[in-house]
Amino acid sequence: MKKLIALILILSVMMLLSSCGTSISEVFDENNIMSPQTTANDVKLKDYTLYSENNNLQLWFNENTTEFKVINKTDNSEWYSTNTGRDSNSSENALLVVSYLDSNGTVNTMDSLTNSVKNGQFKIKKGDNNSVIVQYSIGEFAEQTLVPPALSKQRYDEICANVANEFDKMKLKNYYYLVDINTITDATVKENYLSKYPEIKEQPMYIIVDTVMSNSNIKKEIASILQGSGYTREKYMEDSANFVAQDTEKEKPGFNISVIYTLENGDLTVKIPYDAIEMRDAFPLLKIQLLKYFGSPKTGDEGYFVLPDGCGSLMRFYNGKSNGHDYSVSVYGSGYALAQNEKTSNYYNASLPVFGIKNGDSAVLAEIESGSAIADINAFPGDDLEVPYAYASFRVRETYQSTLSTGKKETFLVTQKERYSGDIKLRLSFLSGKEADYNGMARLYQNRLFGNSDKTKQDVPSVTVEYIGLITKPAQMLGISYDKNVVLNTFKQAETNTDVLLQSGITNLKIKLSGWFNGGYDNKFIKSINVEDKLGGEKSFLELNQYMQDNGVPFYPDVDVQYSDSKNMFDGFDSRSDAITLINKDKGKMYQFDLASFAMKKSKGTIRYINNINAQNNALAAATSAFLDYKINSISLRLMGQDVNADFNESNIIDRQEAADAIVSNLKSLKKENFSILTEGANAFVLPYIDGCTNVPLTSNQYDNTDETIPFLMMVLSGYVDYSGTALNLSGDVNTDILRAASTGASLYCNFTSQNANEVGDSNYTNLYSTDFNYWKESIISDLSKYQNNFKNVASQKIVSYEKLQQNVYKTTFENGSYVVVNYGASAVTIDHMQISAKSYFVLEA
Amino acid sequence: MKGVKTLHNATKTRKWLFCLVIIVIIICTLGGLTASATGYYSYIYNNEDKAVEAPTAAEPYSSFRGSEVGIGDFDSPQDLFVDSNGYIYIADTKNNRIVILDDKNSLVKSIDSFVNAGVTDTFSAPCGICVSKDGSIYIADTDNARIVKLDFNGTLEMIINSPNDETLPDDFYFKPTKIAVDKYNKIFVISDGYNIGLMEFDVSGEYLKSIGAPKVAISLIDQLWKSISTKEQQKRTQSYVPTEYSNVSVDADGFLYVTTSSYESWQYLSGQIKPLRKLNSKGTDVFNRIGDPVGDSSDGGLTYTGPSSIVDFCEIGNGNFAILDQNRGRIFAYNSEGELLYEFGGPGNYNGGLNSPSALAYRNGIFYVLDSDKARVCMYQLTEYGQLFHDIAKARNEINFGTEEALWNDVIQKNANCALAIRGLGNAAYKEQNMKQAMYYFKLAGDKENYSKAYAFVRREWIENNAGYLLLIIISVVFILIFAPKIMKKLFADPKKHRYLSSLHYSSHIMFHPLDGFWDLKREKRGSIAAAVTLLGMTIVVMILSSLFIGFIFNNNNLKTYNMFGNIVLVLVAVALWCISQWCVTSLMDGEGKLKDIFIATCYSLTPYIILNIIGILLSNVLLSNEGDLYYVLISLAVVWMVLLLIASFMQTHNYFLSKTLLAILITFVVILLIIFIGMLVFALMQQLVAFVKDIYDEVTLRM
Repeated sequence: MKKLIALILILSVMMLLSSCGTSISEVFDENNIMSPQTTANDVKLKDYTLYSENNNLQLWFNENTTEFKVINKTDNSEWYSTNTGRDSNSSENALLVVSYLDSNGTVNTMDSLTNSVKNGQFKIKKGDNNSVIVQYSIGEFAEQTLVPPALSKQRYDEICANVANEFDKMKLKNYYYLVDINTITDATVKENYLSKYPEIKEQPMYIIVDTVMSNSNIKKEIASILQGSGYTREKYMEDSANFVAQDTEKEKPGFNISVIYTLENGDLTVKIPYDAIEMRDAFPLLKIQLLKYFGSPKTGDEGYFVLPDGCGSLMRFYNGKSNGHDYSVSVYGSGYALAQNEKTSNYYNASLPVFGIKNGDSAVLAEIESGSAIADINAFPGDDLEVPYAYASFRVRETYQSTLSTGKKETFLVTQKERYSGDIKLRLSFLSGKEADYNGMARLYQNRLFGNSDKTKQDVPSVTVEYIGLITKPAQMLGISYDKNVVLNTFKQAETNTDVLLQSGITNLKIKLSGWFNGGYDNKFIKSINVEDKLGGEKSFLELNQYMQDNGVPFYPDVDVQYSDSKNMFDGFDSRSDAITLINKDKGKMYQFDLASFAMKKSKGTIRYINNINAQNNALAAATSAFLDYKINSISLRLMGQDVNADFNESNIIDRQEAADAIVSNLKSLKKENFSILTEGANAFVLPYIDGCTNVPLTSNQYDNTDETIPFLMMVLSGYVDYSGTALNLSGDVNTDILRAASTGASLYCNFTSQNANEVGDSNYTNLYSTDFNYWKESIISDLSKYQNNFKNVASQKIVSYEKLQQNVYKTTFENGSYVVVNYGASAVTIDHMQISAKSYFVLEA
Repeated sequence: MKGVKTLHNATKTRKWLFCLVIIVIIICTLGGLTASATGYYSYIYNNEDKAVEAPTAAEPYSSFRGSEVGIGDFDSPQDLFVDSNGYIYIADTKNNRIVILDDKNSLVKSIDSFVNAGVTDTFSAPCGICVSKDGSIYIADTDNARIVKLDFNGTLEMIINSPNDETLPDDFYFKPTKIAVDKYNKIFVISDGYNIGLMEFDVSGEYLKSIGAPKVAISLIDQLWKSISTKEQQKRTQSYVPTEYSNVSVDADGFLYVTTSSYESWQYLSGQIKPLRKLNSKGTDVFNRIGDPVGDSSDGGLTYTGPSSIVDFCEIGNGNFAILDQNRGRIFAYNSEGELLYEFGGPGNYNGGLNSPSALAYRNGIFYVLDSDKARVCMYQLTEYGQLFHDIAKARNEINFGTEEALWNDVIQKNANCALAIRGLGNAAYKEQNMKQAMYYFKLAGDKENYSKAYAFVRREWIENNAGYLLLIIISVVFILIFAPKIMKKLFADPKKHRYLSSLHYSSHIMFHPLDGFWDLKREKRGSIAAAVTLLGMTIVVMILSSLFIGFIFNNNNLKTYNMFGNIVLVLVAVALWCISQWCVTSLMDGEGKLKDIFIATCYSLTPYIILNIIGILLSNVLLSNEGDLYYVLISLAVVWMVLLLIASFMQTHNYFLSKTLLAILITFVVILLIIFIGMLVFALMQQLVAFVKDIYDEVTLRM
């Protein structure tokens, strides 16, 4: 037992040592602090001064509050940085709100109005290229008031001589008193003085009254008197030898943040460069809320916010649906690196880092240009207490609530050590007239993304069919468990089924083949590609490829380079060096969650390792070279369009933006090799490189506080990227899915198996619950060909507008003038003299 | 007293829910939630009782709040009723009004007052509403302690005040919360705080009786406690108090369905509480349960814990019904035997998410759910997949096997995870006399009862066709039984020729002559360690074989997750514990046996277990479930025989009298328990230690 205890002690000491040296190191240059002004700043003044102007816009600043307004010269609309209908003293008029971790380990916030502007701790100056720089020192910097706690007699006299006002002189006399250490008899008092003011043993000194140092108002008063007497920083530094610095300033949170506003044509960019954020080590910055109330409407204004969850949604001002809940979505989801113990919802990602505000006849589209992967988009429709707002916030450091397993289940907050290493940049584009609605916003954003790309050319909407080759499932033989291989489609069967589809007249077919190498669907780490023999082997695989080429069917073999299955030590994957580290320092595993209880599932076979960037790059390189050998230049990259995972490995923290950038650079290198790329999901950063995407949400989350679902994402994608929703055969209602596809101009997607369809029931692939090709073939072929037939002239057309005609009836118009009307309702409607029966659609070709 | 308590509980729950919502918001704002491209989802429990994906059975269709129909928002609405014309009646509790909407969801009227004896009268927190076939509206006017019956125009027809009946307890306070009316206009009321069943009123509002009190199952230990505890203590003990019903509904045939919402999961697992009961007019539970309609049975999760909280019931036609879980905001649909058909809903602040649903109704493919927290009526429409189950129930009621089978086939093709569909196919095959097919499906679905039924036919057919073979087998078995021992004896029994084989063969002698046998085993050195180890090994093998190869009907192991190491460890630990403790005890009690003798004797005692279990395995593969007694007798016999041999071995190895043997065995058991106890103690301590070290590690690494 003694040995055990000793061992444990040694271990704990080792752990203590090993984890030292990882503390946060931030720069905080005290010289950059803008000291508070002596008098409180009047934030009620409403005068705006023109700071910058170009052909389209004017940028005006309120020099008292740093609030700004933008005037769009096209329609003379004015956009204010804060809600103008509100009391300007309210802290809600701040342009920045920072959340930080305080010394108790709890999250606190400060804002640029209360903690900076009101004290005058800010500066507005003009920069290059029409830019305006606003610097804030956020925090309480009273110590910057230069009040020395002790003064030598000589200095005191010098100061007194320079103070003109007798009243001020009297104040000084009141607050400083002379102490001669030799006259003090009480030993403890003596000791106290000596410890605080070591110089006092040499000479008598003027000591400040205790209460002054704790009262910031009096302190300010004294500071201004001292300043008036010509007391400078240099002198203060000289005097600092007289007293032991009561290091209170380091114990308080403080931030220096600069925001750069630039006019670029019709846009205003708002940028916080990485270097422009400074903070003290002890108070790490967690989150920045940027321009929370920009464009916030006044009571009576009519309009809406365009929000990006799923395919997009609208939130009208004062829609009466506030119910106390904020709308908040993470851009590109939140990934698996944040170590969640449960998952209580299955919400759609925000794929695009944009949101919009339409107010009256003008509108603003806000795009997060830098820092989108760490951004949340928040909104509130407004109610009796709070005005409507939509804004972006940035998680500069990710956090994690850790719970101790023993005792009273204490929790503490774990934070990312190194903060987000890029800039934060928001681009606000001003729209007016006809363009000032969500259709216009989508057009603008589409131009920005695809302005230089070619449009896709398709005769009919495409049909993507996925075949999964091999899956494994846990089984036991004689009481010993092993992974049983279950073949769902051999290469030959994939060919036969494709033939059936082609013969029955389905055109523009795309075939995705997954689970065809390295152990099946959840492939092992890709060091090299070994085609599964159980499916027919390499030869058969190449024959399948040849068949696809002969028939002109794009063939996308699927590889998963983001995740790896690793069951033994010899498969080339070392979880220590190849997997990411989660924020709670666990090894990066992707867990599944129980559908009923929401708790994390820890059963065997449901867990996959998350590759770090290095492993991901290596895997993709290996896959690419194999593909080139096979002379296949189309590839499907599984969840590349959907998942972004940070890496909290302390020796090399990769934040989400870096992870996203790594994906982009991989896609770029594939594009260089002329690969055609297919992904699941359509995160904005992959869009310029991919040719098609499946599993794109064709609806929004329909949050209670939003009003409508709009296919904003599809309006952006249409014409440039082929997109489809989830597999038709896996929905409860094929018809509804087809209606959704029709109203969003989507292509169709199916996932089929040729054999053993019922073997998935007791595997870990229970999500493939309905994939039997033989069962589906008849009905789905008729659905597919009907859809292709109906949308003949609409494929590859951009969506120019989407509107709600009446309850449950929507009209989508394409650029060539064709339009689709979809009736989701349970009764027939008549639109443009056309009767549309319940749950159906019609296409009117131009 | 109880009423106040539950009210208190209710507010507590609400506070708690509120906290949850806040937590969820915080989580959302801190980290955002992982999202994948599935959105709103459904699941079903497979035959291993795991929640697995399923096609969406009902999709959010539309929803409205009070302000959207033009009467201002609802405030904590507690009940909703949909009549046969599609009119929706809402008890808008905190607004003290009744709201009526037509089938297009447009406002018909809002009743907030009525004329009572010439004076305008109002409601006070009406919690329950029900509309009879003839169109009268019954309102549980909760805080006014009365039932109000109005006609459709809002004219008062009747008021039922607190009944004054001597059968009611002294401290009874009438606080009607839920109400149901049958086709004879008999009224059934749940009164908050009244926990001895439903209150039944006749057409004229006269109190008749209390019916359907849930039986309180008091265990023997509880009774013992009760008998020795004081009256105050008894009062404090809440567990004897039957749980109150949360809701009541009447089906078309006049059966009452009552739900219970607050219980712990062990209470229904032990059968103490049935979350849904179907009562006949006498108040007896007549529910024909194959499954049990309980919603989710899982306790897991951090934000949402505990079992489902069933707060409402509705018929969805042809014997199918649905129940509403307030805890996780889900709706579960069952068939008339209580087997889960589909699930939908779930918590969340989005269209289709339910935060604190209080009432459920169904009409024409649309589910109506009243969410009191969102103050919203949410409607869900059956999908093609959900509709299948309704068609199946219809086909079943019309006794149309062909259609039923085709539909089950559709279900299984659309959802391979649906165990019920597999059984449905099995049933269809059974009805079509395709027994092999039926057996296949029943085995897949894990349905032993029906498998056995189908197997009976297959077996009879086989016997009829293969009577000759069967006779041959029986004769040869008899021959083997008669001659095998003699041959074996001739071949193996000579200790000079085969030392090992003869010592092994000696085990068969011991089986039938334990007293002599064990005496000779030790004193005449008839046994050997090698044979003992062989027997031990065979025991383990037999145990593994019986786990794997016992006929499907008798096999209770989950073969997918079965691991033989468990069996091996079990046998080895048991034998080791027995031998060591026996040795400890007997060395103090003048026993003559050494550890080696004890081990050999113990292993030899296992012989009948080995032999009878092998026979058992063979038998279990040909027996039907109603012939199971034969199998179970055999297995019990094996155990009893083994125990007798163990006693005999104990006696002879240590040369004890029977009385001393029994005493020593008793002490041996005490020692075994002690060892186990100490082992567990060490284990628990180690666990604590590990957790402690882990916490230190976590705190150090994460906080630094």
